Amino acid sequence: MNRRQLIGSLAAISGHAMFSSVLTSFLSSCKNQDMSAYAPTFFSKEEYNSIIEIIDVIIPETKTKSASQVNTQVFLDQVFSQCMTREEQAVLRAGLQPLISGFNSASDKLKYITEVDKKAFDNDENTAYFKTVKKFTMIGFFTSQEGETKAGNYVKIPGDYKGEIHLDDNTLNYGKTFLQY
Amino acid sequence: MTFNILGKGITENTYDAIVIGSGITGGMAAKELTEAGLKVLVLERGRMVEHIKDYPTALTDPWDLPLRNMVSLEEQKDYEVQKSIYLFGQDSKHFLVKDSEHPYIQDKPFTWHRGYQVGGRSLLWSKHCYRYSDLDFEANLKEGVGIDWPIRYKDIAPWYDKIESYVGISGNKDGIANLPDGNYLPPFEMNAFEKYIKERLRKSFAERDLIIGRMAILTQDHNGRQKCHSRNLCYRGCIFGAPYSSNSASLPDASKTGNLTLRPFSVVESLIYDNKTRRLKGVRVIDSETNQSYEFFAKLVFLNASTLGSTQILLQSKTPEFPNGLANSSGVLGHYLMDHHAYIGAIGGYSGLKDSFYFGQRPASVYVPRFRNVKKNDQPYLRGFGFENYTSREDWTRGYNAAGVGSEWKETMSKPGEWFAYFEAYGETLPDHSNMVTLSEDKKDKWGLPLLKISMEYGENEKKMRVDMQETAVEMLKAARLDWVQPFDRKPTPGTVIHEMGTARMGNDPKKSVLNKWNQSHDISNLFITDGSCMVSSPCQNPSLTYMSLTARACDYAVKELKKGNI
Repeated sequence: MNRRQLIGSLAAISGHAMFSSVLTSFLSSCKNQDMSAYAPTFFSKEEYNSIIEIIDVIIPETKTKSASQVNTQVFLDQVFSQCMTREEQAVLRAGLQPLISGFNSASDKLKYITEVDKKAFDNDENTAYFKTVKKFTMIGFFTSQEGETKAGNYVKIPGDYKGEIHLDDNTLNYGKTFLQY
Repeated sequence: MTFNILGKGITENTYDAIVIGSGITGGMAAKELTEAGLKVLVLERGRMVEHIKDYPTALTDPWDLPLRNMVSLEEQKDYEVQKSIYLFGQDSKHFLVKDSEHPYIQDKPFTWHRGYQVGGRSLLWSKHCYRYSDLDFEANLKEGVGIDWPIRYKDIAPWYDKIESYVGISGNKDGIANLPDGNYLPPFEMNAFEKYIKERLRKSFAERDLIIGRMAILTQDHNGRQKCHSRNLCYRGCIFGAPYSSNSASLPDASKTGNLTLRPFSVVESLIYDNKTRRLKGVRVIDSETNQSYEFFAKLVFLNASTLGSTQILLQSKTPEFPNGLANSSGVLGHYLMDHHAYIGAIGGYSGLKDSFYFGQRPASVYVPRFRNVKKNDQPYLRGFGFENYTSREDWTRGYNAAGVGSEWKETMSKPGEWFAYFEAYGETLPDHSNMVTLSEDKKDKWGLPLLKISMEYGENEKKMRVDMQETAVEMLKAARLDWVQPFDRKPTPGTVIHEMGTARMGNDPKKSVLNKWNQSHDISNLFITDGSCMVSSPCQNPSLTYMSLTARACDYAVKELKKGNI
């Protein structure tokens, strides 16, 4: 549904006189921002380039885009620099160095990341930072427009709730709207 | 909706009634009094929030929210207390106060969540609406706790009827004696998992039932508002007006009468008391934008500034006759503060019902009404608790907790996971004289008004109850034969449930209470207080429906008394 159709259907639903004009101000334009020139603040330029590769091993391109194709690296950089305490940042920094050097020298990147991931969830303290990297990579991808609408079934205005519908193997989950992580 | 916003000379500043506060009870008082023909001034300390127009994130897509709705640590500094509310984010923070601008003193830890704006916290409330019954109204008397409620179920029942019909509450008539049925719109449907749990509970327990939440969310168009469109984002402000708020319903309806004047940015400095007539003359406010003082006059004052806000205003309004706070000849003003205690229960997962799903995001949760100490007191504690429960198929966030990367894992995360259940108990808190608010002796806010100092902790009864709250949560999820069950206790500080109650309680005895059975001050006949401060006990059900019903009842009484010349 494009923007014009959305306004039309909402106005029809509501019949509210001021609806169209008010709604127009709500709807952000669907802009595809070019983030290729983004200058990272948490990551160094080299770390940033490696992170782009690492998150694409975690969430690779499939029928849908990869993590980096929806600029998850930018989200990670912003979250790590703006939403983490100094202590949390220190844990991440301590983990990033070995992660990146191990990743760069590994011949099988997927195998390497799979092992790091396993270690993290086997409660290896030195690898715990990876849970944070993975969590925010997931958030970055799955709450992007691609993640919400292609890897999820985000519906802006679902309409009537139905308590029971049939689920088959191809049914996607609903895109997440209540964004508390 | 247009409002006449003014600050003129003395004669223009006289009204029939002044309502202080525009939240869930202030809005209702404004509607009831204007519809009864009174010229009403509503004073709101915060900014204007107009329905639809001032809901800036109502339709914002997740990917367009800054930091995907996270709030940077730098920005969080302004929200030291508010940031702990479950819905805190880029999409909601404009409806919460900046603690940096509105400080208070935590004599003991107390989480005071506030929304200073037109509509107040009616924009953010959970919208559960349950009636109290005589199990609740008689408990204090029967058990010798605190003082007796001056009303019984029969006194408030017709007002529950009226409010439910106006607000529009979706729900089911479940026939549970201690949770009386009301006037409901069609209920939201339970999902397959909830129906399954309900059935298992029925088989395992005589007195435990899982019912669909009775919610102030429309399931069909009602009084000019549109039905719910299943986004579960009510707290951003709803363009359909499906969830009830002052902004979507009571204030626009009050405005339609032509009798309403709404004045935002009006911080109440004090109520103006006339010692000769022993009545209020009016209200003195500070315009928060200009710092200018204004006086407004009326025959009748409804104080609806929220539980702690109303008490704070009375404490501020000292006079020679009332040195310890206006309308406080009893000395109990500020005492017997209560909040529910929650954040305890159990979670569980279920691998059955694999091919069943739901459509849309239902804003209603499911509820287990109180089942403890109902027929007789047979627990090591008094009173009881209900459960607000939430179920869903797990979403991709389940990926945080287990190993997995790569293509196949990504596809799996895109699909619904197993069923997940969250059972959280909400317990009653007994009134205690030592749980109280006072004014700071030396610390003041930016308008020179003394800061509120809050001192509350949960007592032994609550602590004993919490053991049972967690055990019964586990017991129920196990009875439902879930694959795994895990208890939790997030040990909340008082205030966390955002159900502040008491501090200006009702009662029959003027020596022991601030308000009579009509929510009218024992001391000052033209002062009414109908927000949560009037509560005598804290029945475990969500309280807003009762506040609104008491408000409508008090308005009806006040208007009649005014016409008779008794006020």
